[in-house]
Amino acid sequence: MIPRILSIDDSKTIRLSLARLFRPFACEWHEAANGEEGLAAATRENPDLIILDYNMPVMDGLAMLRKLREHASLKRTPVIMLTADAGPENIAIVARLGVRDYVIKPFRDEELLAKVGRIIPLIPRTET
Amino acid sequence: MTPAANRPDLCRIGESAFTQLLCTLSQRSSEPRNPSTPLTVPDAHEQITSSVLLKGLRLSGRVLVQFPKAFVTYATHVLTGLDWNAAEAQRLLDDTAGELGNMLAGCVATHLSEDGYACTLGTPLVSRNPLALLEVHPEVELGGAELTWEGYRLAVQIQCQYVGP
Repeated sequence: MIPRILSIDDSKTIRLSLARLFRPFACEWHEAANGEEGLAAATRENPDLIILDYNMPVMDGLAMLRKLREHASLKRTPVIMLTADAGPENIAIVARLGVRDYVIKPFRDEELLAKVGRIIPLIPRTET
Repeated sequence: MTPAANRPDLCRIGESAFTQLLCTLSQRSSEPRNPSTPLTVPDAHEQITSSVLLKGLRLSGRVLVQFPKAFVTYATHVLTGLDWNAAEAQRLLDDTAGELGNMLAGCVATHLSEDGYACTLGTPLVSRNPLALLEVHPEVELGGAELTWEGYRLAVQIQCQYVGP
């Protein structure tokens, strides 16, 4: 069964960038534009991994993460947080909420792929 | 009020933030750079400004970044793979400018945090007003950088008002 990835970011440019990055790999790709939509999508799709932006309108990444941790079936879903702020206070806040890893924007594709690959199998589509 | 001598060097921070951003964009571009191509898009030199608020216990302010439309077109292409002239790419310009502003403001916030001025970021606002026309409060300290990269003139302005001792 191929892994399901949910990408949550208010920037359509970033969502397209991420979709393009993971297109060569066998995975089921889902997207949401803010934390509120992300929670609905996560409940519906039960992803194997969530790539979550920190700074979003409506519901930001932190608020969504807190709600995720209260959800019976989603609280153990691994999350990789995308954040533009690499300050130690910000990273500490993110770490305390139990994210599996984080990536600082602007990020290198290889870095994100390596971190995702440590959580779910990334198999090229040509091999499946 | 924080003595001026102890305050962050906003010009250095602005320049460093730009360097990080441009370095990453360069690394993501998988084809030889052809900076002249986006300059053929309509209104290539129109300025797009992205503004992100900074809020912390010891300072408040904002980061304003100004890019020519041609540069934002180039960045959209690098990030998404969409063709320069594709209608979808053109529709994404404000979104890309906002995200570039977010990334740059994040670099700025990281530097400010390292200097003892931790702050959080607001969500980006994008406009077509040039930096020079934006109002600045007289007590606000200004710093930033202007640079030319691959033929594009880019500018960042950091506005900070310090609070407390």
